[in-house]
Amino acid sequence: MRRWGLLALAVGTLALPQVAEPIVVHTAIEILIMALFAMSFNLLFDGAGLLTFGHGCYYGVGAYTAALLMTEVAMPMFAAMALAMVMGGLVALVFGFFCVRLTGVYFSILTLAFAQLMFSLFQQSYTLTGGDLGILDIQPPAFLVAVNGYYYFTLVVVGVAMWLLWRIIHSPFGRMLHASRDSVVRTQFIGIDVRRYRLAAFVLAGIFASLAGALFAPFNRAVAPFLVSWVKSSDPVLMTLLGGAATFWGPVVGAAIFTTLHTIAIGYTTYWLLLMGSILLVGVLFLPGGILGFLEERFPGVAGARRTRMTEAHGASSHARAD
Amino acid sequence: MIRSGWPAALSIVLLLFVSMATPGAAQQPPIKIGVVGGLSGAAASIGQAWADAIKMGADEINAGGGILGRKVALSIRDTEFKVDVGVREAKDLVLREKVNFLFGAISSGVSLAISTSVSKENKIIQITAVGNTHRQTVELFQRYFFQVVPNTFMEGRAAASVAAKQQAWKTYYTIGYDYEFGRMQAGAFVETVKKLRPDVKIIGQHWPPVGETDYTPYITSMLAAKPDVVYSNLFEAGLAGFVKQALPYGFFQKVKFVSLADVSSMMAVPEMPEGVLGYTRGEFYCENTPEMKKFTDAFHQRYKYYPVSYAVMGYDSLFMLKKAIEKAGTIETEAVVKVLEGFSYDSLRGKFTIRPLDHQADVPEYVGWTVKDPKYPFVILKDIVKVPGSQIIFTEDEVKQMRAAAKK
Amino acid sequence: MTAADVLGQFLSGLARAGVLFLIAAGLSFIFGVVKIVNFAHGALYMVGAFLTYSFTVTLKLPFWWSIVLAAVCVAVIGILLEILLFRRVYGRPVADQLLLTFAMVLIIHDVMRLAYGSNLRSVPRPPLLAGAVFLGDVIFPSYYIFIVLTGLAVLGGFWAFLHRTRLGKTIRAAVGNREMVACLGKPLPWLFTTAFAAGVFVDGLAGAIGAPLGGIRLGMDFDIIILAFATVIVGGFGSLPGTALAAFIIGEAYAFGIWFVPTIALSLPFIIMAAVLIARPWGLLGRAGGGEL
Repeated sequence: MRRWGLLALAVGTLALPQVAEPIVVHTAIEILIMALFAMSFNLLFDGAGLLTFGHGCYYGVGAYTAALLMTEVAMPMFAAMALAMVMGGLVALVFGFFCVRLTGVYFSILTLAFAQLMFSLFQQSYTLTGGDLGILDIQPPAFLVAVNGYYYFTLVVVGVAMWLLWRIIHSPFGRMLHASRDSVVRTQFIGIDVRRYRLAAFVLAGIFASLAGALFAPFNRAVAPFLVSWVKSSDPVLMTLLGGAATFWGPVVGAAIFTTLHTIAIGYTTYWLLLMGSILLVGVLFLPGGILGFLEERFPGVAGARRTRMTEAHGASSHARAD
Repeated sequence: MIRSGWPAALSIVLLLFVSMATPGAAQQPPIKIGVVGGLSGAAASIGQAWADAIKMGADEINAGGGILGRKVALSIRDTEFKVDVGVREAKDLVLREKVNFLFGAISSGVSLAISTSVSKENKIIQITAVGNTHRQTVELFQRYFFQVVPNTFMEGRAAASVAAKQQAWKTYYTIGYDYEFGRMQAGAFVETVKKLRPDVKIIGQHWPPVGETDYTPYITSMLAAKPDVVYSNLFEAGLAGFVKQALPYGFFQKVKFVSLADVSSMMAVPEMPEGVLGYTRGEFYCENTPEMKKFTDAFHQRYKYYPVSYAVMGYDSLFMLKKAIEKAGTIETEAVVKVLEGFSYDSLRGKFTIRPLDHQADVPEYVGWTVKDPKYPFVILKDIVKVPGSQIIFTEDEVKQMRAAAKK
Repeated sequence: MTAADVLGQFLSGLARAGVLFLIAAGLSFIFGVVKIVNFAHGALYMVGAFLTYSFTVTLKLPFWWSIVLAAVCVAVIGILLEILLFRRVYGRPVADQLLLTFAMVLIIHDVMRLAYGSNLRSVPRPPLLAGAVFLGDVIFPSYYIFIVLTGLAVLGGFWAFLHRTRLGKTIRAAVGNREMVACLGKPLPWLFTTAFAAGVFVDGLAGAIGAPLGGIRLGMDFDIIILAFATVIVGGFGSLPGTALAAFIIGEAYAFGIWFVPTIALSLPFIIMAAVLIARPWGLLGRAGGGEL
């Protein structure tokens, strides 16, 4: 049964541009980019138990680096994207060094402070980053201008990135990260330098976020300081929580639902904030653990393999396996 | 995470796509116009006024039989003043709703992004009535973009041309928002004043961040410097805050003030003093024509507030497009573009012409002195100088030079 | 630059500090006691401002009545929100609480838009406080004296409440050790509701008092929310004297920053915030260990 489902979904994803309208493909690309962004966030959140309010910083750095390289020095897109990831990693290393020494809400707010500093920097440097108007007219290579081409490209890149994230999370490093999230003291007792692990996770999250940003820049053809701000940083948080932080694919579901809802809501009414807020409210009150968490409780096993002891971290009730 | 959750995840995603996919629409009879601009948050009042005027205009057109016998259908989208949302909404309007024309945006950043990311590639005419960075018509110009609002430089130049005439005004302090609009406009003002009056000195400049609410440190700082004049391009809630906070300091007795004076900002500060040199893109009281009166009365009756310049210009852009389509005899983009280049239109603000070189209309800027009027709950301008567009617009040489410089 | 100029700039920083303190005090208190990070804080501030407009301009009530009434209304709204919504997410991870308060921000924005439209509103200063006090060459607007005095009253009021009343002392005990207080038979939920209401009352009061300072508009919550958080962090969650000190530092840093380092003046609150978080995370006057969620 699951094999057929897997096959159908794979076929659907690959065939999408052939059957759907360009705007649907366009939205799909946006969802893929946001999904990657949200997953990078979740590496820190569910992976290491660190809630960052400033993840937009690395997304924006990635977007701007790619944008600047492609417009100012006419660098080919792939090279620009690679350098964008390096830049994102470097910035994450510098900021992360300070952030991982804190925990709880202090960690969260320091990440926010750094994002706002970056925002001010980008907003005020007219010569370097174009100020509030940002960088415009970013042209992808000719074969990626059409939306179908960009869709397949993004699918490949995001697919590989997600595979990498999966490998990271299921590696010994990932398990150690989980351990540090569940109990710092015990993890330190077995000789692990928790801070180092967290910093590594922070940098990795930054790299993947900047990759998402680098995908976004040529797609949107324009970047602006807003991408670095705390408001943009709230997107992956909302998407992950909505989809369900305790699953690998939760952020993807959240990204899809949030983006689609956002688009439909704006087109439906100018009071779309009311609509979105109400839906979020209902979601929080009645779907703890997000959509996938809810589905998992109703239909155990639909979300995949066994659960582990993440109940405390995510507040979903029942179903905890005895450890 | 040991759980993966992917089957459920991908099912949901695909379900969403199926729900979103609309059947390909055959060419609809109405002429569709996408109206995309910021309608929520910070400058919602501006976007709302602009959209309201366009809605009213569309209803008037439809009541009169439409354009070329076809009704006008508007699709209004909120960009939240965000570049990514703006581009996405514009693309959605173009690709899914298949609009024939785009109006927008409010924020210069968003309108610029829509121009370069959507209008150019999809060859859809975009007309801006509010977002007015000069870059849209100069170095980032593309032929489907048209501007019926004076750009940031034109506004600064107009205000300066009147300020320079005040012989007693010798020392200036400027305060402008720290973003492209604020900096460019203050820069244009300063440059023009100094050109007309080489004896003028700029003794200081302040650049508060956009969204600043507390101006007292700037007020005390400027008063300490004792300039003759303070030039400001603050607006909306910021200007209201500045004026309210400056009044107890006796600010307006100590210095002369040059400021943006659109009705929307003035509504927020009824305490605005008289005798301020105000400049605006075209408020309803700036023109005493029967057309303006008719527009104002209709707007006020329908929406219960007075139409601010953004509404005036939005209305102008819609009816200008109507006339252009009628002259072209078709809504086909290339034909309309050809008509619009060099097109002269009798707007609410008088006649203006769209220059083929950069698609900038030579629209005027109005400069006058604030005065209270018992008819309105806000100050208006009197002794208005209507600075003609031809006087303040970039010359063709200036445009060519700037474009060449940007290419390097 | 004369001594009078410096004093003038100092006073403008003090004015800014007063406004900042009022905005941040409620947030600090709510987080310190109820341990909720309330993103809707700015939204409730905005509601206080809009309500003040309705009371003073539409209903033409005297100013003093208006601001108290507005603050009370916001407190009532806060209590309703607490009972109907917040109580369901106590004990849930902080992420859920954030999501909840974020949803409220969106909803409140559109409720305000439905009620008031998109145009800007204006509230005049009461005639008594419209002028200024003159100290030689130096001017200090009377309204800011009112704000600073109100700030001090809030500070003193909270102190008296927490240290001199039984209810206040019980709340302090509950912050330190919830289980014990529950064992003593005190109704914990109502304690927290009271604390929440007190914090939200100050929030609404801040919005009401801040209303005559500028244009009242949608999105004004976003203007102040980050600054409010910065002030609370620098001072230390839960410590109102800390919040006051932080407001003072940030206010003065800004007032003199625009003279000496204008390009980074915008970023100053965040630089200070980052520096405090790196060097002393629990804030200037907070207690170590007081921030874990």
